[in-house]
Amino acid sequence: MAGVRVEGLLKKFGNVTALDHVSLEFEDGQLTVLVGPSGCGKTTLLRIIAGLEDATGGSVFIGHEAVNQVPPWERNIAMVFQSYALYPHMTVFDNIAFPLRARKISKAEVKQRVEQTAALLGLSELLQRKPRQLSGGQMQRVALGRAIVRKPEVFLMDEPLSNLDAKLRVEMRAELKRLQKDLGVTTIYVTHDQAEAMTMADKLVVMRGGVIQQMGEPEEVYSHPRNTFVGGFIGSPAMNFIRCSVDCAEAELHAPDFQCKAPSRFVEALRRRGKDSVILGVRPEDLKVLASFEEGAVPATVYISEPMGKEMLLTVEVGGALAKAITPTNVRPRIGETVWLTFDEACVHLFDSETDEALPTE
Amino acid sequence: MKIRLREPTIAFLFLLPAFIGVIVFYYYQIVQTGIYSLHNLQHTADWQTQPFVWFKNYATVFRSTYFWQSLRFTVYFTFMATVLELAVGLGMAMATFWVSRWLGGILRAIIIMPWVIPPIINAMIWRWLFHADVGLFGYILVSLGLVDKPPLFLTEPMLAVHSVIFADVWKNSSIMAIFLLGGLAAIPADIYDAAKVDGARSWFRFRKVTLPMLLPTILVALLFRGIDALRTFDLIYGLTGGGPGTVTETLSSFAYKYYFTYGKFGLGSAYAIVVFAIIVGLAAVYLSRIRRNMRFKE
Repeated sequence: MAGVRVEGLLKKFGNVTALDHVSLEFEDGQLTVLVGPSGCGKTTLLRIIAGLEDATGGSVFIGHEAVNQVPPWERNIAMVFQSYALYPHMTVFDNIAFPLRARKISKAEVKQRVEQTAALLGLSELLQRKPRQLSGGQMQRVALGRAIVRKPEVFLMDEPLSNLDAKLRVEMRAELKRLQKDLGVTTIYVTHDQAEAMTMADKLVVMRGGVIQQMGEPEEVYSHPRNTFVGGFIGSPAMNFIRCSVDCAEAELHAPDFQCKAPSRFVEALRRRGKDSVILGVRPEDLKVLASFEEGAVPATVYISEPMGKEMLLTVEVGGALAKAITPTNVRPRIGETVWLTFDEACVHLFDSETDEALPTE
Repeated sequence: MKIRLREPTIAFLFLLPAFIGVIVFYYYQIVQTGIYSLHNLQHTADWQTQPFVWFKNYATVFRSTYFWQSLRFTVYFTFMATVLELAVGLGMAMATFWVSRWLGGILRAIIIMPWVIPPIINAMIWRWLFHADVGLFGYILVSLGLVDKPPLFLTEPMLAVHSVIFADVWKNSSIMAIFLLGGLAAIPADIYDAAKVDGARSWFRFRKVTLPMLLPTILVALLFRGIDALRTFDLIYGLTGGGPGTVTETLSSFAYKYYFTYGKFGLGSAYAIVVFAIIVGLAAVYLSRIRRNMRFKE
């Protein structure tokens, strides 16, 4: 086992900077998820760690060894691709055996280890099939088998579940996480799906434009997003943002349609900052929807409601912008109806309106 | 007035011109050649006025030692040329595929060049290069001190046979390379990446991934080149004229001689039909054999 460390990684494709001096430590035995929108550099980072791409600058360490000059076939890593990248001309057995054969491991041991791996992944019945005779889920398992069969120091996974249908994806997510815990191999997992990222990660790394936006435990990132991008990207539906002006004397925030007390933990920061505007962020699950007026509630017009089974996703118009709220299904407002919104000040996030950075709390 | 037609009918009407073209320009000739081959036909006469001789022409063909000799040479030539073209073409394709895009473009243009040259011009160029008195090859070999006097490339039987093969390989390796480049491009990049991460070094990747995945393309390319080589005529006509003696005579060049040198249309037609049958037969056997290997491409 070994951790992975990257230092000051820079990657340019012509004029485009894919990675901008990224430094990051992937701890030994942990599952670290790199998440971000497409083009954020997460796959590039993974490919550089794999050795499939050369960095323009900076270094990669696996364990304590700098591997910049080490070709992929000599790095002790395994990778799972979004397309699975199974060898179409080989049987499942040969696919899983490939990494062992490439390392000239004895026939008997190859057979034993492939069968062991196949049993672990429930592939024993399929060993003589060709990839084209497998379902998406089965191909996914073969790709995993090929990765784990030779006991690598590091697993790299590039959107491994993206080609599966929604139901299977949720199933495989749990299985993959369990497998990683059982094997205890350092894993770097790339996805653009924030739900997958939240559920699987020991440590979450949010990236945008080749720059790390925030890293930490998923709960930490979720409850204390460092900027509006992270706040909006992690959590689904996305966080609601509204620009407010600040009344420092009264410690109040004024939105176009309503005003509210600034949460006390931010008052000091607001004063010190002395700027007159701020971005208020509230998660849909923290918005409470009321049928009638209460003290401090904000009026809103129902735009559309989407029942989701155990709860309802409500889109409302507040101050000319759309906001989303998750409500219990017993509230069933019609389109155009007026509802009242409240939120607990403890759940409020404030961000600087110029830098988009979260304001410090006391 | 509006005419309403069902879709299959419309499809048929669209296909009809091409269909007629194929019948008129391909099948009519084959049938006509078949009919000629059953007559004792001289080039000046109308076939309808000539004696019908059943399969006598075919018997003549099969009894002729020239036929068997040219068949042997044609098969040897086809085998050697195709195998060498595959090897050279594969090398060129791999070299072109793995360099930068910019350099790859230039290499592709260079590679395609020999194939663009008209076959008969190609034959003439090689005839000059191989020429015993003024040829470049002889001159180089003598200058290097490897031989005392220029070898008789086109008049020494063994040398002539292999000079012909050499010229064909030079010209047709390029089309093989272009074929294989297409096949290489069809292999997903992920597969190579997976193989690299799986620990496969370049030779192992080539043997276990590239080559097997290229196999369907290779098999089709071999079929195309093989059929072409079996029919080779212009290279022989321009380079050796079948000589020395009849050593480099191919089936096609022999058929040509019977037609246009000896004016025996009946016998020449029988020759042509035999060549045709041999090629169709070989192609059919080959196709039925390789079908299994084509499957994973589906």
